[in-house]
Amino acid sequence: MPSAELAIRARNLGKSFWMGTRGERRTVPQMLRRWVTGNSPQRLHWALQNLNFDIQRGEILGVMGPNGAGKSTLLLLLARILAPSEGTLQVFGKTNPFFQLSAGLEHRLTVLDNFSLCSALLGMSRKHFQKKLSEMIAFSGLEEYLYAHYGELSAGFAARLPLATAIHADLDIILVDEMLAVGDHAFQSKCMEVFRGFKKQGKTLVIASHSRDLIQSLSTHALYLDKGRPVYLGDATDMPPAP
Amino acid sequence: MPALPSPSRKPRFPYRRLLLELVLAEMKLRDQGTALGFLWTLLHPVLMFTVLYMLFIKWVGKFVDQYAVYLLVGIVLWSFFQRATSVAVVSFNRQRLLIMNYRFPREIVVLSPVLAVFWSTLLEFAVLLPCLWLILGVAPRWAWCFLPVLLLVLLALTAGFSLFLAVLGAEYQDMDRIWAVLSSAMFYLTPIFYPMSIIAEGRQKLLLLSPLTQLLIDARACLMQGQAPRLEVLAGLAVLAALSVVAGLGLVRSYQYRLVDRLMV
Repeated sequence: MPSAELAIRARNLGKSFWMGTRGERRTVPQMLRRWVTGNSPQRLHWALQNLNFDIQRGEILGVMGPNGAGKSTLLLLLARILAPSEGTLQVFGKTNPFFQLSAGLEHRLTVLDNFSLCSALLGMSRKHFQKKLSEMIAFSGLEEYLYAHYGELSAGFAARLPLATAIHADLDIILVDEMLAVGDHAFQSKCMEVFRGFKKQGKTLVIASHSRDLIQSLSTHALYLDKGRPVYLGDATDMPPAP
Repeated sequence: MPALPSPSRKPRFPYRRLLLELVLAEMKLRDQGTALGFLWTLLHPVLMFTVLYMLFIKWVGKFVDQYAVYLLVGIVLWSFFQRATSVAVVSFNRQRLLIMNYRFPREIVVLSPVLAVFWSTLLEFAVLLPCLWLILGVAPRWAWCFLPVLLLVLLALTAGFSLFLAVLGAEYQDMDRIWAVLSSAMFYLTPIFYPMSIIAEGRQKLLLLSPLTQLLIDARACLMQGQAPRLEVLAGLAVLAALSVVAGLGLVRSYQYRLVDRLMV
């Protein structure tokens, strides 16, 4: 029976993709050829399979696993950017993935323009944005670069803008994917402090990382994925060294 | 027993602001870094007008009064449709990273460049109308008040069509090339630089099936002869435009998850 504080529920969750096998492009002539010959140059790849878990509000789930384990796919499913191929996933609250956020921003616009664009992408109203802008700028430490082109920032500085905006976007469930890796130590510490604050505010955090120390210091629960399948799911502190 | 939480619900984001932000970004980026700025936008229709006018004035000028006005109106309206659909067909691929990193209604990615091109077209009309009056001697008439209605119908038709094209563009990687060829054919199948009267009667009926042809006829009648648009045609076009927008939005909404799958692999 789900409680009123349930934030995420996954049952038999799976996600598959059709992947190319012959390096063919998806073109109209190729589609016609497939119709005529009945041959498909694609194979089904399961990025995630057979995942079951419940996360309550205020809990932090750390997701670990090697490259290609399905960590990013899980976060995209939780953000409802991808749809499950099998099973069910219920997410209760406003969420957005907290990774590669700078990827969609406009490098030829100014940092200030991108604060505005990023906040709109995260669903902030203009009023909320204007109220929070000074806090976002202060958090990001980009005061001196507001009128620089976003593309002129270093990777670490560029990542601060979406991170600072997302932290102030009033999300219920925060999804973080290795994003802290690009920030310097001082900025990472600031983010960790904010993430711990989320827990006190009853917000749910799902963080994907390769760092066992990070997961164990921050998370209440840990999930270890390998080739899209759960290998360990339980208390973060009890996670064995190499599940 | 504790109350069950509601099932996954769509977050209610103020997406109108996002649409506006992306339209503004499109406009800023288009005019940025060019000394001529907006003049670049005008250059394309002006160049097309000059070439077509010089080529056809002697021949087509015999059949059309005020051929310069006839041609200019045709080119500006066609340019909007052609430019808007050309950016729409690649819009999902162009904004791939945005789509894969943020959750928002995907139609915004298609509609924002279409609206940015529409804004350029409005500016072109802001330049064109005084030119018609001061240079070509077409005095303003009360029927010009219908022009915004015709432009809105054209915008809605183009937006609806663009939504379908964008989905095809995401599904097939060569759709932008196919659309470039098809839109070139459409240019010749729409009375932009020739009048309907020089086409054989049977073929006229075929050309009249195109909503663009009907809109061009009414826009020219409005601007050149001061006639109000044919109400039954305008109503029909408005219904068609509304249906195309609704169907296009429905298609994009039903395609939103498959779209990300397509963009990922």
